[in-house]
Amino acid sequence: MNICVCVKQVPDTLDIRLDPTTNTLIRQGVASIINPHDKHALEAALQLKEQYGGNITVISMGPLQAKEILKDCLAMGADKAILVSDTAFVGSDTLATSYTLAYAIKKAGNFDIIICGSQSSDGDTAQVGPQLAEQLGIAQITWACSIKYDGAAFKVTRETEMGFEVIEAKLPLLVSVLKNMNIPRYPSVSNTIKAHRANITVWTADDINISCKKVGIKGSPTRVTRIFTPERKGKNLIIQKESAQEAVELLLRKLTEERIF
Amino acid sequence: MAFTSRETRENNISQEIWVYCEVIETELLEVSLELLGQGRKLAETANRKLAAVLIGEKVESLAKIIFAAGAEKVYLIAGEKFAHYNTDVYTTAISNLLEAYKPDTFIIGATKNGRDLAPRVAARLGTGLTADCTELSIDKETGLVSWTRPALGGNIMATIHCHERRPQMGTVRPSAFKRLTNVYRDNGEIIYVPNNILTTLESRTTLLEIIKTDRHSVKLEEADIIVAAGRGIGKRENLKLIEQLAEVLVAAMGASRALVDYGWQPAFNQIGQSGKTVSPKVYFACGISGTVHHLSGVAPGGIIIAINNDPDAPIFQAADYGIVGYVEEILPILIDEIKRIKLGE
Amino acid sequence: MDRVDSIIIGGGVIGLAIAYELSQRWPDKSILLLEKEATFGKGLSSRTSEVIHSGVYYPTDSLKAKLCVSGNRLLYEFCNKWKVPYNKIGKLIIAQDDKDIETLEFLFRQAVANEVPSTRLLNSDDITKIEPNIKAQAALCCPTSGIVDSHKLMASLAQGAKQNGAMLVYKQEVFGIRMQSSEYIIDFIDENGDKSSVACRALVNAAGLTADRIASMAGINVDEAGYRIYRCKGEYFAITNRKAAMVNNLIFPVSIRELKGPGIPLIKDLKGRLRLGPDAHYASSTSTDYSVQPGNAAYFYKTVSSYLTFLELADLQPDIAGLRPRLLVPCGSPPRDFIICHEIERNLPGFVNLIGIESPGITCCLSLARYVSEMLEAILLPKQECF
Repeated sequence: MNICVCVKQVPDTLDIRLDPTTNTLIRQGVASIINPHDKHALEAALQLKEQYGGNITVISMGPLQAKEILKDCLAMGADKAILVSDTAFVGSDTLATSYTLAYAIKKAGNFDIIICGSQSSDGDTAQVGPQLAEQLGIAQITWACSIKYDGAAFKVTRETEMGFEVIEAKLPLLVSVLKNMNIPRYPSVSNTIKAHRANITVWTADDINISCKKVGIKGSPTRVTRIFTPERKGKNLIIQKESAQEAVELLLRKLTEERIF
Repeated sequence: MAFTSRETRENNISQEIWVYCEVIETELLEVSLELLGQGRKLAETANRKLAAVLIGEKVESLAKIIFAAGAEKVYLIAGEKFAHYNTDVYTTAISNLLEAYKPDTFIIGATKNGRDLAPRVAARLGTGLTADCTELSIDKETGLVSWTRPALGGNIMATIHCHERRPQMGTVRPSAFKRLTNVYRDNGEIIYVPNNILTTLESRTTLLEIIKTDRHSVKLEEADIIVAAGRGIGKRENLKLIEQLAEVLVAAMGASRALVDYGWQPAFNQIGQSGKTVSPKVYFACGISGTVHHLSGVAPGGIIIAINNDPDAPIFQAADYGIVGYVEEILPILIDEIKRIKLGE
Repeated sequence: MDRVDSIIIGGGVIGLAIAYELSQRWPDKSILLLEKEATFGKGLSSRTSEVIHSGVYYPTDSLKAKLCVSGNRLLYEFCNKWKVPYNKIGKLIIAQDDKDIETLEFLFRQAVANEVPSTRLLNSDDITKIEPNIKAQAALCCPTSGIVDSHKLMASLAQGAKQNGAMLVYKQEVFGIRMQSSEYIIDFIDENGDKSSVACRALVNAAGLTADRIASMAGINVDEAGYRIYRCKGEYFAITNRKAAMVNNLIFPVSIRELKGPGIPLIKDLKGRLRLGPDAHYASSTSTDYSVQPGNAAYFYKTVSSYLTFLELADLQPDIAGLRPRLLVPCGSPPRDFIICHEIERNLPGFVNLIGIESPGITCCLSLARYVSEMLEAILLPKQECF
């Protein structure tokens, strides 16, 4: 089975702080990690490979520093890693990103299944997976929590508002996975040492033969026009003094009024 | 494929704001009604019409609810093949509809299926889409929709505009807005979308099975409601109360680091800097003091309800609602009252 | 079998700092850190006072004194570079009676001898100006003391080490060390219970609470060597209400539990809370009990109430507890110094043991890492083809 896994380098969101004077993000000292959902996507790929054999190619789009997370993917057991990196890609929104990834994936090979994390922890849009499937012209199954393969088709269980759906799809297919799909393995020492020595392929815009008008800021229909810090302050409706019964009743009345229940 | 603002004039982009009305088993989802309520406000600010897209098998009767909720027009796509949500079938139908009628704005509820459909449609049309918004307004200067959403784990909020391509699209988080309290109108115009628009609806996937759950085995990271316990619960036996509250609320259970250190709770339930980050809509903090390390694991955007006997605990600063009192006194009453409310429903 | 130039056992603040330092100094060498937990800093490093010490308390010429004074400076530099949150709030070492004042004067002379910068003695009037709510007759002011976000510090060290090319691998527990023709074969077991081995020339034992076990794997008799570690538990209580605003500095009594005295430090943490602790009790050699006994609040309260007169027992909330790797000393003797030993004399060249690295370990992490890397220079410097 020829498997492609898309991964993204993200800042550790627990480390993010805003400079109170300039209102800009403090990037310095913020650890860069593999997007947590993508680790589950890679683990799903590794399990498919263990069962049915095959090859796992990991693709990321981002700055050259993203090589580091691709090495982490190799350390987990991926076979090959490709970084798509070009200053022309800076400022891409989800549409331009999926467009770029689609070009890279087409160049990288014919894949039976493309597995993505359902969303990134920084952008949190959950849009790149479906948009990539559309750009590649293949079927998609999002919010997946299990992938099974019977030799001819995939049976994927996905989460819905009501519970779950089991969906069957033939190859090729894009699946975006939730964290409850699996528990990602820890890299082994041996794979880590191999990854340490590995060279990561880097493709520029020219390498994937993509029009610079359709990528980066130019290719992005959306613009972020304002960034601000949410007030970490609640409504502070604090109930004190009343008896426990009164306090609970008052709380529930408020919650019902506000349609929280 | 995309239509830009220059094309807006040339191609007669309608001035309509559209809301996608999601139906599950002949019932409209609450988020659709919420969006119609907010859509009505936007339509009035921008002096535009509000229309709804209704798609399903036998859904025409829902139009009345939609008019009451704020729309003046319904685009109806009805038929057996739309009985269940299907990515390919719905994407093609909706994309064709958007291309045919060219609304200015298209708003979709950020449900699982809404977030499956919207990006696929936006990619097909080559237009901009903003995910999982919590605030929506009309920009005074440009008349554009301002889509505002949390990003970077809730650490920042970003406002996004789609300047040129149409429709401007966004998904909006359930519970971000309220439905109208009054009936907007009793009826309105229903456009029966002609079949020639709904061409080539082939699906590459097959729905094999629907499994309904009471969402009881919900995962912490994806839970809408979390009941979390901290050191302030006093003693281990009080965890039973936390479990009971989680059960009546169909919530996931979380814990502060202290309880994990005590061995009272497994590590995978730990919320905070050294544990998990969660983004529930409602967060019950029971006996949690509310350190920065803990709260950094709770994404902003949801409601925090705190129960703690220390009135000075920092959790009350972050909380929306709070009761100062001992967990073992408050929780039994709270559980009983919620049970009563649920039975009443 | 896989081979690397250097292996560090233990991913606490010390192991990480060494990985950072070695990978910075020798970017072309392969540096592998093995940690048995799922991530870094799961042991004692994340259960401390988070104090950046100035180096007053430790005997002149001891490793603790030397590494603390130089480590203090290096740590602030690192925090600035990596935007690790810290607050150089300063420390007051307070004396309440004549006997305390004697000790204080001794500490002042020791501070000067240790080359701790800018320390000065304060009288009770001076103290009132700085800390109106603290009761003391005299104090030694140590302006270079501070408080650091230890989690962020470790995250930055880990990130820096990785960027330099060091390999940090988690969930790998070392169970054997063998010497074989001038290299060390390290046997470890992974999360699935699979066993493997990796070879190296330089080996650093930064295993914290289990450093004695690691040393014994290499054939060292830990009791003869004086390496036996005793787990010493320290609990903390926090003051989270508005009284936390009543103190501005770190307040340390002249003799603290940490150094076998009776006093308990008061720490103003980065969030503006006050923390009391740690106390010190020996725990069993395998203990991982991190619970705080709420009942101990009374003892804490009794100990500190003479200088923190504004406190009431109800203000004390149980906080965290930590375990320190303590080296045994005869009754009445001062605490032992850090053991940082390149085991050439035990015929284990390239093997560096770090035993009993407790407070002021965080302060010393970078100076200690330099010290270790200098020890290993002779092993790592010669250009040998490893890969």
